[in-house]
Amino acid sequence: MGGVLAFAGQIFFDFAGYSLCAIGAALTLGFHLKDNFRFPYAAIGFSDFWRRWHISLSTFLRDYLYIPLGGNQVRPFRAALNLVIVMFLGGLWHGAAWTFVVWGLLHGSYLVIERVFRVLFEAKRWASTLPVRVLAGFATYAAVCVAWVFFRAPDFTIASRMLGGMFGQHPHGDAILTTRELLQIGSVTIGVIAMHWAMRDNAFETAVMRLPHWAITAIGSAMACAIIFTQGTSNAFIYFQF
Amino acid sequence: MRSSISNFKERLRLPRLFFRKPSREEQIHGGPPLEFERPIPPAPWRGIAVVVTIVVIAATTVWELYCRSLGYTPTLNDNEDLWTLRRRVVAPESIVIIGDSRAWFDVDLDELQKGLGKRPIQLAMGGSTAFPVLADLADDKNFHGTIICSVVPHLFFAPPGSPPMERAEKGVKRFHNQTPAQRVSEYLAMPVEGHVAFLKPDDLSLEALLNQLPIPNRPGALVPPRFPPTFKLKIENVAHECARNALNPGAN
Repeated sequence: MGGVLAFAGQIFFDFAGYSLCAIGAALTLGFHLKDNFRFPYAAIGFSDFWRRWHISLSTFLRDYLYIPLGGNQVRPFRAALNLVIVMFLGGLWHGAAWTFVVWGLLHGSYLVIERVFRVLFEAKRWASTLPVRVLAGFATYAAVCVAWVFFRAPDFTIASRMLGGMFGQHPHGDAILTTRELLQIGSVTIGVIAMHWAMRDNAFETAVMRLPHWAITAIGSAMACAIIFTQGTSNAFIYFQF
Repeated sequence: MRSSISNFKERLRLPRLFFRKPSREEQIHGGPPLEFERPIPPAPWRGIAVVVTIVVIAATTVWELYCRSLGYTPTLNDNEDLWTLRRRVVAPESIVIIGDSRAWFDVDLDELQKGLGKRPIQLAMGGSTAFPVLADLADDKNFHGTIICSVVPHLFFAPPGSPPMERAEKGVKRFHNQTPAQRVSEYLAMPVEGHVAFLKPDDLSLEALLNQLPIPNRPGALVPPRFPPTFKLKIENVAHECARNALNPGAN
């Protein structure tokens, strides 16, 4: 479980971080690029997740695959099949491996299940109450984490072992992560989810605008110092391989 | 702020055919217009940048002085890029030392150079197996020199996927697949590492410092032995002295 939560954080910070680097670098040259991430771990539902995660890819898939296939302007079964086909191809886009295919199909299935739930429950008054929205948000995050197992694992043997561990099949397995690492993963995960929930309806620029100047200076200084003191290795970003 | 496309349009005075505002039908699925401008929050950015720079320089200087007071001195970081740099030096007739920390710490290159007539190339890595490096040199059609190989059975025959095997494979893989960016990065890092003492990923990175926190571990946690700060520096110096004393008994 700790490993999956760690990877969920790692891939977000890695990919959203270098998307921000690209946006900033482009801005210095006068090019205005759109956001690629909008606080995805506060998504309520999977269609919301894909409006917040890797927006450049999801927009491309929507405009050039989903809508040409008929989008949701077709019969419900065909619309569901369109979703699965699009996410299957979205999985394959990440690499020619069956694990990516399963990751894509899982997300396709999630989107179909969400659509069924919407038809059944969206009109109910209790569905839009805060506790249900928060619960749906955490269910989304948990399901996304389950899918990350297939995204990260090199093969199905390791993926099934990871999933088994997550669901308590190896209670006496090796304690690979130290207590310090578990504490770090737990605090970073809580921090990132809390931050995403606090920001889910805001833009990054809005938050900066609301902060006093001394706070912007302090955060900027802390981040610059953290970059220097972390002494990152020369490893490339995870998403460079795709 | 005007968008770059607007400025470009005004400067070149291109026909409106290309730069006119998209009609409702032309907008992709009713989405936002094709032109997009990021809002830049109003703030005294120049002043903030100056203060941030001063704070970062001050914090870095204090940290550097503190690390030097602990006994750290500027040294090159021993990573796969530095190893690749040495691997590139291997010539057809070279004498190459490969293996684990025994071959790394317990060999005095100056003394060997005196005895052998030429300076061996040190390719041993602490906590690694020599096997992938040996295989790589054997596959190298240009190399027909001499290999001095340290063999510690449990390291040399480490199974695939084990840390000693992964460490050696990482170096060999980097030698064959090093990107221009990684190469440039190493050349840029070396002069900095040669002057800055706190650049020690094993001891002074944020991760290493967090590992020093006195947090008791859960039972059965796979924890590597915890060494005190500067231990590695001290052990390198001790190994160097031992090798000198062994070669020159009674010198001290």
